Amino acid sequence: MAPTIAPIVIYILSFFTPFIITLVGLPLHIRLMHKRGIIGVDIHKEEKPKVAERGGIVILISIVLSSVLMIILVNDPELRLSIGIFCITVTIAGLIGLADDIFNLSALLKPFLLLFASIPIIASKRYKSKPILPFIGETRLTIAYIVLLPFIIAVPANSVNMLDVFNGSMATTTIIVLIAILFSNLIIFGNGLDPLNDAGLSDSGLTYIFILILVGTILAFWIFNKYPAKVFGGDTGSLAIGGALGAIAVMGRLEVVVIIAMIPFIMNAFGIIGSVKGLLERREMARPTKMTKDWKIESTRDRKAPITLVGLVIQKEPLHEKDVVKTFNILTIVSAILAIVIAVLTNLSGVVS
Amino acid sequence: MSIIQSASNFVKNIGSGIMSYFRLTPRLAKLIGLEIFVFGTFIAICVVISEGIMRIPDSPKPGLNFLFASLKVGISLLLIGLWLGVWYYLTKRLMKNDRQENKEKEENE
Repeated sequence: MAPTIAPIVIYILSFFTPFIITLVGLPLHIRLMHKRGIIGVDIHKEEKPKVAERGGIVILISIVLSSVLMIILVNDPELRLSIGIFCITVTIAGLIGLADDIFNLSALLKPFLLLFASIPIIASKRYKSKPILPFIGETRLTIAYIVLLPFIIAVPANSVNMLDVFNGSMATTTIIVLIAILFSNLIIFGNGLDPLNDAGLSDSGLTYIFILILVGTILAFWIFNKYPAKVFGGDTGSLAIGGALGAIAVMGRLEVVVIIAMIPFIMNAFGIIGSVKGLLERREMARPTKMTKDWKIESTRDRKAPITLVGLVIQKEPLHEKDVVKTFNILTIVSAILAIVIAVLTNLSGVVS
Repeated sequence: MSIIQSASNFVKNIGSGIMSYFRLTPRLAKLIGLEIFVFGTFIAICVVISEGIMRIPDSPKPGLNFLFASLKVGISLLLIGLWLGVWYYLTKRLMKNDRQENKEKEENE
């Protein structure tokens, strides 16, 4: 039998392994993309720099390799299976993103395919059909939960993808969401750093591993994606991260917390879907923004353009790209605080057995 | 540059960074208000479910019990659906209103 590794060591490795993999992998990826000519133009800057694309591939590799390492290190077959299922779910979402990056999938096909990312979770029964609500506690939604489960993965994946429009916007906002989930998990399930020895989905230790893997990966990605970006994540990155958030919601039994923490993402998705009356690809829609002479972002005032969160924050006056990202961060900080309040209310109600 | 100077620059950068966040917050008042409204209505729904719907007693008869349980889940899901619907409607309306205001402002100019 393999020796048991202290949970704290596993948590430290959960953060630093993906951080280092992404930190080392991205410069190589950037060089390779420039060499192969897989580059995009950053239209929000005067000098129109050419930026390496598909950085999400490194994000995906980092999550997969870190998950494999955790599977090797944890000593419990149930935990190993859960980490494996998390890894497969994220991989499916990321590969759909990669297919979109390469073949430009239609706006309907992409969310439809994402519904299948939940199959590993359903097949391996790595969920509990009893979501926890404040004041109410565990609810029994046996059949309804299975019907809703594919959407709990697909909706976050698509909404993260829709907000990945500026340098560093996806990275900073998802890190804020993940921090909120981390604290909420600690508040609702407690247990701190020790429950890694027991199997079961409500063990907070498992959720910490997922969160730390993601934070490590995204933090290293942010270093290269922050203003002025050297790499774009593409759909591979945003769908993998969004899918991972959905998987954490289901496997960590934090569905409500994740929904509340992601209010700005969902609001943005609502705005786009509502204004263009359905699902359309970014390239099929009129542009909602244009650049001013001093290279600030302003609204195009095009009635056919989708109504987005960006459009709302630049309605009064144009803003610099960095400031637009800051406004996204402010909105996500507010929703993150509200998510933590939900966790506190759930805990105070004494509804978690 | 001395260590003290570097440290002071570092603190200054952090300070100006935080200040820039505070400067941007007022323009987000409506959106933050909507976030808080969405949160508040969700909590209200949870209280209604907890204090109202969950009080529907279980029945000793299995058939009737199943009916009651389905009713509880059905009404709860309907409330959550309604919540999502109102959220969607308000987001759309807020965005449309802002666009309208902007158009009027442009015409006046």
